[in-house]
Amino acid sequence: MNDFSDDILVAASRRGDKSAYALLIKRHYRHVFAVCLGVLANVDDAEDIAQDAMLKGFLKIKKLRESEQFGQWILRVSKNLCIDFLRRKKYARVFRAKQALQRRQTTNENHDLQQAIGRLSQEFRLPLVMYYFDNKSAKAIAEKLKISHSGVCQRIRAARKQLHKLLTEGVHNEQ
Amino acid sequence: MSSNCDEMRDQIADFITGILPEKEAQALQQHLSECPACKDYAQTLEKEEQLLTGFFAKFDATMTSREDEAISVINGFDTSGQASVIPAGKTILKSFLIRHAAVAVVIVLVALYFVITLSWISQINECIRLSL
Repeated sequence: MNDFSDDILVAASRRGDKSAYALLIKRHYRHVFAVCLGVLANVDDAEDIAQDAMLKGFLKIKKLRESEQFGQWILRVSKNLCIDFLRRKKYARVFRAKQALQRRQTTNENHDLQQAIGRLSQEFRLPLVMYYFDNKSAKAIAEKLKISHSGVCQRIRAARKQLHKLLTEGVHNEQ
Repeated sequence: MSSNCDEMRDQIADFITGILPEKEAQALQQHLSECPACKDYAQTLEKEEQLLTGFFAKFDATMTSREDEAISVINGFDTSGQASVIPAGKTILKSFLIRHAAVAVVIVLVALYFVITLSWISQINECIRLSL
């Protein structure tokens, strides 16, 4: 069953076959998690929303018209759930305030990579996180995010340079 | 550091990240062998690249357990109740006869409304006529 294509597994999942859907989870969870981490910049929240997305995917799978598009569809579902989550919890505002406070209080933590990734803008963070989760394939990300290859490369470059700035800023502050 | 170096910084970032086309990578390597400032920059980015790769590789180690957890959420979810949650209105109106009977009742009620309104108007007219 492992070799079955997505559309066969989707058809079985539509009939309520949980073992078929488990294989879809094995195949796509990694990318769903990457999207959630890229949008939310928080590992625990990303895990919760990724699980919610997979559950929602199972419950709404009958609405998916093109079975072979499951990969892109589930990424859309997860991204929408992340946006809802941010809106519902007013997370963005709280998060930014927390970050500003952290910047003022603990400049010596600026070098921390996780914090620096969290401080990137979502526009740059999402392709960057997906890039490292997706075996460094800019082409695969372009397909998943439905943007051009050069667009993905531009955002990764911008993210990488911004990250360098944030990390070196931390080192200079320590000195 | 020459003005050319500023232009090279984008290429260095792309090169270290792995998105620079092969052709441009060769020209860049030539520049790196001649420019100590850009070489330093490239080495710093290379160290950050290793940090980044290591950071995301940590998730690989736990990905299987994360997937299994998501699968257990699906397995623990009772989907049998899903089908029964159909709004009562939709269930009742599913029957052909009941649907048509509901339409007939609505038509009769509308007709009654008009008859009563017309009789009221005629009674009011009658009262006005008598008072005059």
